[in-house]
This record gives sequence, C-alpha cells and structure tokens, in this order.
Amino acid sequence: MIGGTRRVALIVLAGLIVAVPHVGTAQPYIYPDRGQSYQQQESDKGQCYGWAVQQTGFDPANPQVAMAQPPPPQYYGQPQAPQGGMLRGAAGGAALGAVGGAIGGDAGKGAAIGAGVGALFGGMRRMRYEEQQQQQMQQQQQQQQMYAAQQQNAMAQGRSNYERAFSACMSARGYTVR
Amino acid sequence: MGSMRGFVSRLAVLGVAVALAPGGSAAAGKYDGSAPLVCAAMTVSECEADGRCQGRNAEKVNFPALFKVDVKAMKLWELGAEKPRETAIRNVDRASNKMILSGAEGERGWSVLINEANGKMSATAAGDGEGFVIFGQCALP
Repeated sequence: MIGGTRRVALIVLAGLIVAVPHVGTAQPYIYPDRGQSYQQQESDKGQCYGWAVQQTGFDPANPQVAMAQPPPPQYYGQPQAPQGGMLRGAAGGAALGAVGGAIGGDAGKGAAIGAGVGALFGGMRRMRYEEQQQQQMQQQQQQQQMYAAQQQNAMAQGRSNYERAFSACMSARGYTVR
Repeated sequence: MGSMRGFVSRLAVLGVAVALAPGGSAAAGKYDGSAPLVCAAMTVSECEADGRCQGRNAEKVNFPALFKVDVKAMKLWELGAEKPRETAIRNVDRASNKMILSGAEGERGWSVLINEANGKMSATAAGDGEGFVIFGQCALP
C-alpha cells in the first residue's frame, strides 16, 4: 500500500515537472503591475504560454524546429572501386595459390606463394579514388556541421520569438516582463 | 621513416649498379634480358579516363620501388620484401633496340619497355578507365 502511494506520488511529481514549461534558458522576471494574485499570475502565464506557442510554433517545453533533413551523401564523378586492388589481387592470388598448392598436396604453402602472385601491377592502388572518398567524407562532415549549426540557429530564433510573444502577452495582461 | 631509409638505400644501391655498368653503345644489348635486371620506379603517374593524370610516389600506389626482371624465368618480382609480389611475363617483343615485356594481372594489362642500350624503363598498367605510367631505370646487378 505504501509502495502504491509512493508510486502515485512519483507519477504526480513527474506530471507536474512535465506540465510546467521548461524554457531551458533563464526564466523572465515577471512583476504583477496590477497586484494580481499568485493564482492569477499562474493562470495568465499558462494562457500566454499557449498563445506564444501558437503564435511562434515554438514550444519551449518541447523545443523542435522544422528543418529539411541534411542532404544525402553525394558521389561526385562516381569513382569506381579500384580494379584488382591490393587485397583483391592478393586474395585472388592466394586463392589461386591455394588451389595450386592443394593440387600439389600442400594448400598452406600454395597460399603463401600465391599471396605475392598477381599483385605487382594488379595490386596498384588508385590514390585518386581514395582522395575522392576522403573528399566526400569531408564534405559530408561539413554538411553535417552546417546542418547542426543551422538547427542551433533556428532553435535560438524560435526561442527568441517565443519569448517576445510571451512577453507581449504578459505585458498586455498587466505585467512587467524582463 | 624506416621504409623511407630503405627506399633511399635501395636507390643508392641501384645508382651504384648503374654507375658501374658500362655505358653508351658498349652496353648495347646488355639490357636485352640475357641477364636479370634490377629496375627502379622513379616516377609514377596515375591517369583517369577523363584525361587527368597525377604524379605519385611508387609506394603510395602500392608499386615496388625496386623490382627484378628475369626474362629467362619469364617473371618480374619485387625486391626487398618479405613476401615479394611477382607477376608472370606473357610476351617478350623487341623493336628498335627496345625490349617490351607484357602480361596481365587481375583486371589489368601491363607492359614494361626497357631500352636495351641504356636500361631506361617505361611501364604501363592499364585497367578499366584507369592507368598508371611508370618511368625508371634498370641496371645489371
């Protein structure tokens, strides 16, 4: 029974925390110019909160901004995967060597010999491909950073708009808001 | 750093070998494959189908700085590696005192041209939409 009461108390407390808009930044100071009661202040704050959210589309209790998703990764020039790359050449050579070794009765030895066969020219690595990959990765990182910065700006803008709207509403109801 | 030192020392060895090798017309025919040759890749260009080429370091493109050419054994192999890479020579042609070796590896075809008179080497490795051009020098070890 005690456990149940404690659980109910926790739920009520959680509800209260959620119900009160949490702005996240410094709360404005509100002074009741007309001597409004505490209950009246709370009622006005609640109504102005709703109005400001409606006006600005920004809810400080659930701060979100509508933004386009970051662009998907783009591939410039469609770099081809290296043909006959080092691993491919070595692995292919090893496989061939292993086959040869197996025929000769020693697959392990065959694989060891094969690891070096066919990788001299076939294993040459295309640096441009790797450079392009690196460039693309950098571009993606930049885009993500830009997106994050834009999101932060939009969030700050939304918050600022909300605060202005809230302040305007409260002022109209006879409060000084700073 | 160690590999760089190794590379420099290998080049130095090749340099000495080249210096000791008889020069000019007296050496004509010495680089004809009758004896194994040691070749150094001095410059490498990586080219794309769009016509753009970029100068590279042999090691950067995973090509051995030094390799041996044994025409009698019909193979080329890397020097100074624990597990040397090698390739089989499929054809040996000759034209105007040039020895032209060629072969195929994976999805690439390759050719190595060696001036029989002075050991200058030009090699190519061509794949689908890409190619490498390698210039260097061969010496008689």
